[in-house]
Amino acid sequence: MKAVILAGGKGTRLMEETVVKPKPMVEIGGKPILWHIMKIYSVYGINEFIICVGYKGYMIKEYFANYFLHNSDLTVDLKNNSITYHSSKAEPWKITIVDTGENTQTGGRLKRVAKYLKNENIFCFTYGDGLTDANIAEEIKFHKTHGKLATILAVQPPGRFGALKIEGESVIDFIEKPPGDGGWINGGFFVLSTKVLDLIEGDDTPWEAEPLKKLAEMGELVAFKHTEFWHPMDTLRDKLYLEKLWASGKAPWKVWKD
Amino acid sequence: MKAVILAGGKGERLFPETEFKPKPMVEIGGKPILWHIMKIYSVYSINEFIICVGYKGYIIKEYFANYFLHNSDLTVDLKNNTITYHSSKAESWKITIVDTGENTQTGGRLKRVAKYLKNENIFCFTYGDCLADVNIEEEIRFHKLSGKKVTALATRHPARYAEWRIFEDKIEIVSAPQEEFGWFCGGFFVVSSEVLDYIEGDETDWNYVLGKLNQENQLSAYKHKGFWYSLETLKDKNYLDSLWFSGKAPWKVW
Repeated sequence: MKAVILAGGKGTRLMEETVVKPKPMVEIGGKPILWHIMKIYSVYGINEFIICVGYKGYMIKEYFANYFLHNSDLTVDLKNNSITYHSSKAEPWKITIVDTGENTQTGGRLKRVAKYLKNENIFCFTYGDGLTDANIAEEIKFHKTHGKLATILAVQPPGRFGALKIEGESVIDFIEKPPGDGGWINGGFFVLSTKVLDLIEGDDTPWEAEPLKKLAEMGELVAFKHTEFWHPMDTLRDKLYLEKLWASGKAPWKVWKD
Repeated sequence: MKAVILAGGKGERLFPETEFKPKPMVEIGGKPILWHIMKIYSVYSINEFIICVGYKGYIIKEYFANYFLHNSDLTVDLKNNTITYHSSKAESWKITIVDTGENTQTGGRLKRVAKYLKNENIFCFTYGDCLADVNIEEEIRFHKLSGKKVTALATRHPARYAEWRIFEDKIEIVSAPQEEFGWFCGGFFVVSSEVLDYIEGDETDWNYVLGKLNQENQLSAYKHKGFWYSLETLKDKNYLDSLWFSGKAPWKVW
């Protein structure tokens, strides 16, 4: 099975980092967040990726084209102009990188890679900035069982602000990291039938607008509820939080072995 | 013989030069200071290098992997997707680049490349930000004669500031007062490989190892009265650049 990953957006909220690189290339523990997402899929046997690039897409192409240069120790012999790589931490990945335009909307980007999904019945689809410990294999099994066109990972994000419990005028409690208010949100990590591609009109269609709404109306959108870890990387604060988790050695999304 | 060069530090004092590149890639006369250091060793037939990288190490890997792209004129033929390099200023260097971690200490970095030094009795070791017109060959001979485990280049303080000698009725401005100061360690070590056993792990500072060796009377100093300079701040870079472009860079022994 293939996984399509959106990696074309500008990530303007992460300004400090994304002036020089696209958001999916912002690093956590020395590796791009995009790499972490691929490692998650890889655990469940999904090793074919289609990366939709746009803003500063060359950096993503360059990273995978020179994957060993980025990730291995090496010896350069200038006399023969030859390079020997020492530790080849090879992943069994096949990565197709497609320029889907600078200003294309999320749905439009997916539509633009349709030709690489021709022989697929279902595929995975996610954003290049969200991490989770959801069991993708379970989600795919779930998708196949319900038989509808789309499965969405439904998550309850942690609150971003300390919450006050107020009675009258008195603050009676203060909760630093309150759980979400109980609302479910779109956590990405979709499993989709290729038929959904027909619901996308063109470049200007955001995936979250007509296509998802239409699917919901048709009764073809099913939620795979996930109450464990899910975290987006929207701001520098998120990056620092994820870095801290990684450095602690207990990053919940690290479901793979070294 | 091999030379190990430390190139993993952040070089925060050289900001903004080091925002996008590690300090050893800061350029003097259009070439990374790391390249200058390698050229110095190369004069003395040391052409095998082990570069310990960390902070933004990819920039160093990319530079040497694409050495000809960086340093030669070329023709790209897009029809056949071929590149022809015109002036191949090839150095006869063999360069091993090892990721020694983002936060590893200097001694720890050396320990991490031990496996590339297995067959060596002695090797050279230096910082990726110091230049000197030291005669490495002489220093190696000196090391062998000393019978000690490490030889360090002992240098004078470079004259970064003019000294004001203030008397009752006048001030005497001395522009190069370096001989007034004592000796200090200027890198360019010659190391016997058993020293690697003195290094405990990632947290070990090389200076700590030197102290320990000194207690055992295993440290010797090779006095160098000639040119020595370290790249610490943007002011240093500008000074070294000006020396280079004057055509009289003292470390240019090649």
